[in-house]
Amino acid sequence: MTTYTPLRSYLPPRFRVYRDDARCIRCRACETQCSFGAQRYDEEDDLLLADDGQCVGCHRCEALCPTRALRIEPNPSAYRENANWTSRDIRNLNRQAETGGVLLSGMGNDRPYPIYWDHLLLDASQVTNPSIDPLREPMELRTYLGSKPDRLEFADGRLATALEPQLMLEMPVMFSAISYGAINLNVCKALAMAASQMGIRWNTGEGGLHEDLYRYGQSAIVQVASGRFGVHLDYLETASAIEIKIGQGAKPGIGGHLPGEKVNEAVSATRMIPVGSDALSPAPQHDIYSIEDLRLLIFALKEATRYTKPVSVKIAAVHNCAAIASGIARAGADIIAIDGFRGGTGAAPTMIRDNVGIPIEFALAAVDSRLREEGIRNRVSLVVGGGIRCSADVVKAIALGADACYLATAALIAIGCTLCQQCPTGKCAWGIATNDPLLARRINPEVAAERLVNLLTGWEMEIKEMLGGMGINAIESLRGNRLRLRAIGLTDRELDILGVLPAGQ
Amino acid sequence: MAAIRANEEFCIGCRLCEVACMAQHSACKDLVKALRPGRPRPLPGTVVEWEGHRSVSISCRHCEDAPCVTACLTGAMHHREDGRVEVDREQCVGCWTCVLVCPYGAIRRGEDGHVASKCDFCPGRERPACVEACPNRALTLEVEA
Amino acid sequence: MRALHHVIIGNSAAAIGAVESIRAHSPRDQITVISEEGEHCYSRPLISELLAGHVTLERMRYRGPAFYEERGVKAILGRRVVALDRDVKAVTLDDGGYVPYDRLLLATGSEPVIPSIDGLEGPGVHTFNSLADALALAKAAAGARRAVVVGGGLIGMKAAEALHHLGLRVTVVELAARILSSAFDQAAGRIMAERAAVAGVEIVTDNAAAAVQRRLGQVTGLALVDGSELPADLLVLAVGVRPRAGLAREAGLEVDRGILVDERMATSDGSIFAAGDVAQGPEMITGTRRVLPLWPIAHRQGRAAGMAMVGEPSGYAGGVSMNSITLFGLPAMSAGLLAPEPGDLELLAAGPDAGHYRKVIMREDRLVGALAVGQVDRFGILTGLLVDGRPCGFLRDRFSEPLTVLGLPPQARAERLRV
Repeated sequence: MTTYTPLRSYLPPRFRVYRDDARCIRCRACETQCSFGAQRYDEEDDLLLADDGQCVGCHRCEALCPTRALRIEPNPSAYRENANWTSRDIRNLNRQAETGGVLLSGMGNDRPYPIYWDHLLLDASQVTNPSIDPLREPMELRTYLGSKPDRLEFADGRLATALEPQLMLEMPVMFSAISYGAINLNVCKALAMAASQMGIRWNTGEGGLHEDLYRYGQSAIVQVASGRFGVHLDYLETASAIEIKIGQGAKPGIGGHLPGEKVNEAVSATRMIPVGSDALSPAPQHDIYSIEDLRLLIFALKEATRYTKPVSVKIAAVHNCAAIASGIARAGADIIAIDGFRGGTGAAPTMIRDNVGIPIEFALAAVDSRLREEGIRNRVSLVVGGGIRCSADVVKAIALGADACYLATAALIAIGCTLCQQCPTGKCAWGIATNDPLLARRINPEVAAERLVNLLTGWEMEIKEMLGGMGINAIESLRGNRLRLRAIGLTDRELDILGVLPAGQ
Repeated sequence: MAAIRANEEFCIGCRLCEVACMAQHSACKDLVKALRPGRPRPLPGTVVEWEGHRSVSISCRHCEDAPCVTACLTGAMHHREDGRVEVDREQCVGCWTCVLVCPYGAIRRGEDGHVASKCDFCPGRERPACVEACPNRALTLEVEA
Repeated sequence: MRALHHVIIGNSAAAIGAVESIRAHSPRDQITVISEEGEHCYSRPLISELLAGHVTLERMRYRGPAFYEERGVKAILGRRVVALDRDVKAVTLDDGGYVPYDRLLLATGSEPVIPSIDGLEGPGVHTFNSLADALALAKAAAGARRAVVVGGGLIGMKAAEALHHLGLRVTVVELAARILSSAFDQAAGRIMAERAAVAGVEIVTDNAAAAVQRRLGQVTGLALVDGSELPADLLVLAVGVRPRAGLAREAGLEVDRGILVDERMATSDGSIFAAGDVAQGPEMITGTRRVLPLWPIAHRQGRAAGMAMVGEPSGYAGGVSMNSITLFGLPAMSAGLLAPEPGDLELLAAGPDAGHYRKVIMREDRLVGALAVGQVDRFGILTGLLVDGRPCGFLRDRFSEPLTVLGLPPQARAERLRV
């Protein structure tokens, strides 16, 4: 009987490891830190040697090398230039030929689609409506997420209208859903600690709530996703809000995916699934087949928590999201979260990640306009995410109509992620997208939380500067205020949909 | 007296603490120059130990009632004025009685066969070099309130 | 309370320990040290290094040159105490001097045992216990070619190593079946003997000296009990030491092999304490009182005695036997028991090289003995576990390699990592 050797790969290494031997002190930190097996110490020759084929370009070794002796670069031995068949295409074809599998990636869409934030510019005050100096005058970044009443009634100088439950945020950002299992407990703790300290919220994603995180319940938004992982009454009670996940920007139309390698004892216990089993969330929520079904679930959750917590519904930014959002608002949701096509993920089929969904800028503008036209904008708060990179993106998003922004990729980058996209392997060398105890300890929650707090503190100041520059001293005054935006390099149609004037007008 | 706390939960086994210690205790403190391969290097005063996926860097605790000081045959092991335990390199004869009694295993036999080697708490530095070098705060300085 | 006068007979490890702890707790009390030897306190174990020429006389000093002055200690050196009057609370010196005390510490150490054989009188026969012994032996060795060391214990072997280093041809005669029997077991003793033999030192076991052979007054050899003869021009007697407890015996204190003391180092007389080689104090494994003639124990006992003398608790619960020796480049360490008793579990590991050997003895789950030859790194972790006395079941799988703090059970580990 003939046996066959596995198919040999024709692919050259994607990265090259360059080591300056004059600077290398043989400390072997690169060896311990590389989780992909690309660095090795040869005892006999007293040399550090690299196996380029294993390098994934995460730069962990480079970052920790005490003498900066390492340089990780894209492999210069590139294929002949071809605008149609790029290196990426050639690599993907080869990998599928070798494995016969679905191409899987981590983090968000990395293709060169236009970034509409970069086509939008902010106003600044000049002669009339002078700027406000955030260092000298009070600025209000506080915002409340939740359903606002149609009108307010007063009695005896006090508010008589009963308000729906609100989430108070000290600044208009929150940490978006990243599931426990896709990341480890140390990262979850850091997000929770930073969110608590900054007076914002963090989102459990569909990983459930680990028992060590119950103490951060007050700042948590818990997710009820299609797999219903980890959903039980205490889970709902502990949180400050509940989010029904219909979809996510990285993979609209399909469910979450946690490869079995990453499901260890603790993840298994929290998600309530067997150890080592792939956690594949169903594509739809199997009890939601119509908007009426969604309304049923929304109110079931509200009943279960005695109407004390806002219920959010998260959808991916897709073609008809305006109509969908309208339906969701009417179904009783307090918050609608929209996740654009740049949204990150721990694992998604590459084809879906890179080709499905629409930019958040359009989704946001379309949803905000539609809800206003229907006179129901006040019924929901809009939270948007999917590639929010900086405080300017946040300000632009609010001007376009958002109440707050969801951050996830930005947060992970702040604690070390270098977007090497190896999340599905569970070998994250930065200790983020892995549950391997050897690697997970590389995130010290205190260190990571400090970095996140620093990030948000910087953004907070920047937002105030930009607002002040526009002569605005409260974030509420910017919401939906599209007149404070101008666009450059967009077509008339795009301008129309965004509801923004071109620069010069 | 301030002390180095070693937190086994967050040690990532990178051994940058050892590297920083060796550089600090070399004649020329430049990392690259001091630790060139082939050049003799001092034994680090803090050493990373491993058990499976766990690691931690252990250094001398500078005990007030130090067993090594009591046991030292020659009086080489002594308390400095600042309270730290130090080896008088001229006086040490390498009997290793200190290695025999240190419950932390924090003293190493010098390769020359003579001088007991251990952490000296980096005299002259505001913070020991290992604490500053640790990228994950697995080594922190605990100061008295 | 008025200042006390502490008198310490002795000037070695125990005495210095007492001086330091008395002074640490009482700046006012008077301290007088009386020593037969005329030198500043010195590291007795270093006499073999001095003999070999590895250290100078200068380095022999155990403490700084101004040690006594700095601490306001009156040092009467070169005088021997001839009588102890417990009723009057005073000691008498050999020059008629008279020193009263409030508290007395007997730290008189040990003296070499001299075998009762013929031919000892005359030049060429040396003991090896003091600085004076070492200087005399060094001088004699300069003109000698063949030496025989009688006694293969720690002192004898170190003397043999030093003489070998000086270029003499050396033979060691040991009564027992193995050398270093007070500090190491059969297997370790054999490894060390082999190492010595490879280096060129001859080891003769199961034998003893019968008579010294002389011609024209000079030593020519040593006759052994089995009838054989070893040619030699220099003899070193190192068959053992015994506590120098004469004064205590004469004064009617309770003396067994050594002066009996409790964990406060107090003798049967409440004002008199004993510490060091002369004392027979609590031993932690057997729970009995034993003489532990080891430098670290002596110093620790001295400190405990000093604390008791000023009325402070010392927290000293007893000692254990512990040794560190390097012979011919091979290091070896031991702590606690050397051999198991019935019911004990003895675990041994050897290799990878011939010179490597490790052993632990467990009693139920408690570590009562540990030994390592060759691979001695971090041995103190084992010693610490032995002294702690807490459960060490995990050692069964771990003892053949140096231990780590991380590898200890959670409680022991937490204690060691705590700041």
